[in-house]
Amino acid sequence: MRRYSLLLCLVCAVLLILHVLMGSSGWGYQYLGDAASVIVFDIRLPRAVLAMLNGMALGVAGAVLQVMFRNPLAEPGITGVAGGSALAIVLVLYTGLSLPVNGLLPLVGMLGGLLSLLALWLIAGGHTSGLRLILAGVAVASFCGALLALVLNLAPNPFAYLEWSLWLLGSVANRGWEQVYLLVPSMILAFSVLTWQRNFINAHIFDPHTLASLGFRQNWSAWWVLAAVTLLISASVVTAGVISFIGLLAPHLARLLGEHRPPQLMLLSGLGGGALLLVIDGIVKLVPTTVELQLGVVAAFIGAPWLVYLLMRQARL
Amino acid sequence: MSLKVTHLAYQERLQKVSFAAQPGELVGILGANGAGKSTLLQLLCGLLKPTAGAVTFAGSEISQMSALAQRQLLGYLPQAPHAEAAISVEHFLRAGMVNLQLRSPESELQRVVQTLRIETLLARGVHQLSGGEQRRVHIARALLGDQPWLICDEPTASLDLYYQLQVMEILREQAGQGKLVTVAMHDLGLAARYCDRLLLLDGGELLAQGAPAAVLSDANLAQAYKIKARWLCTEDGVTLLPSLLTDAES
Repeated sequence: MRRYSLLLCLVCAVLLILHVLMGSSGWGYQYLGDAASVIVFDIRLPRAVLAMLNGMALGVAGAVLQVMFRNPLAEPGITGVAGGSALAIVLVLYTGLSLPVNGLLPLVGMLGGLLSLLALWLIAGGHTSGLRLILAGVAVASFCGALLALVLNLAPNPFAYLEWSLWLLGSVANRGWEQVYLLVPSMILAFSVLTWQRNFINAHIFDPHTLASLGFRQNWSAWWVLAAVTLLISASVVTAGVISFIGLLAPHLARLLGEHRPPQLMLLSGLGGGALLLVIDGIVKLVPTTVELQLGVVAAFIGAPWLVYLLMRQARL
Repeated sequence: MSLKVTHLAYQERLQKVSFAAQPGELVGILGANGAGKSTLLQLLCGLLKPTAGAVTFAGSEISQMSALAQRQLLGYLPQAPHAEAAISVEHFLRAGMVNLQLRSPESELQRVVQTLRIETLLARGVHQLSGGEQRRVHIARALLGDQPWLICDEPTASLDLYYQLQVMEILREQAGQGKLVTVAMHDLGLAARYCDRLLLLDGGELLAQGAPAAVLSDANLAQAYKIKARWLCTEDGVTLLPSLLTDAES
């Protein structure tokens, strides 16, 4: 496991450097002249770091959800948290609510994510068992999706409609260090909670009846873990929009490396998610289109065949 | 360290079950499918809250204990245990030590591995094992911590005769070491041979309790299982041959 962790750290570092060196008009930075320092450190570097951190957040969130729900197809979208977070932000923008500080917008997204989690809990009847929670998550996600579509339908003007639609597809383009500074504290807090609850997460290798007899305050621990995952997903949505499939792909990448123990799976999935999103954003930068592609589009092009592969593989087992 | 169960009830599934058991006893819980065996075991280990009555072990009421305190008191093997992840037996057992506050996890691991004779399985994946091997690994997990009370729900289900006998020998051994072992089971012959005392449930009620020969009477078996039984004396003791009741008999 340590070997793969180091390897993935190295891959992330190499991809980060390549991402920073990669520009829309060529490689390197010498050709940028006097603006090189600003372009590299204030545009390219924060974009690369944001892509990597978002991938890590979604990778860890996906791994935790798959372990907790005992479902290899679980991913951040399935809890409805990503939808709730996106809906809250779009609603604030739509109603033109003026926030005292712009930096409060991420908190709005997190509030939306947490409200989704609360709705999830109410619909699931306070239960945290796999199937019931997943079905409740599908209901919450569908409802958030319907509300988002309604808000977009009633957009005040076509420009707002286009802007919100593109944001919903996910992107780390035109972001700066402020987004990184918003994401990092949430990640530190969420990872601290997940580390604190690592024994509980690890105990999900046992069937539900055995787990219930292992001395955990199950509901208490489960909701701490789900709150941490909500924070990761919401922070990702606020800083980069809704990026689908990374939370699904990254844990399976870790499993392909032979790791099935939950804590180790979370680590490898986080590193794998970071590397994946760097690659995907690299493709976004490389593909010559008049309007830059959105991360969610490229992620779906890779993720959908992967999902089909997983389903076929599961059918063979 | 004695167990006292008084007027225990859970919804419509179990009604007014009362019995007591002592350390060193292997208590078999019998009954047809749906008789309430698993419900009773889940009430015993605190996974379900009784709607009436109480389970008291060593003077403390189980339902009033914290999950952590229950963990120190009893080992539980559910009806159909399985591993959710493709991990090795060693990792599986190490994960099973959680919340046990062990002084020496390594020696505890060695103890259960030797008890269940699963040394050769440690490096293999839990999913790669045969049914019998998996069951031994799950029993090893339940034995971790050396708690004074072991609760097993149908530990011999789906095992071949060799493993059924082996599992019952291991449980007998645990009782011999002074533990209270409560086991739900379907095999009346094994129950008669290995258990010190039996509880026979019928439709959520305790139909009979006591020594195997008294509990497994023709009348009790006819009522609880709709079967008749013929007892055979063998070198090892007695064994039971069940057969269906005829229409006239039922």
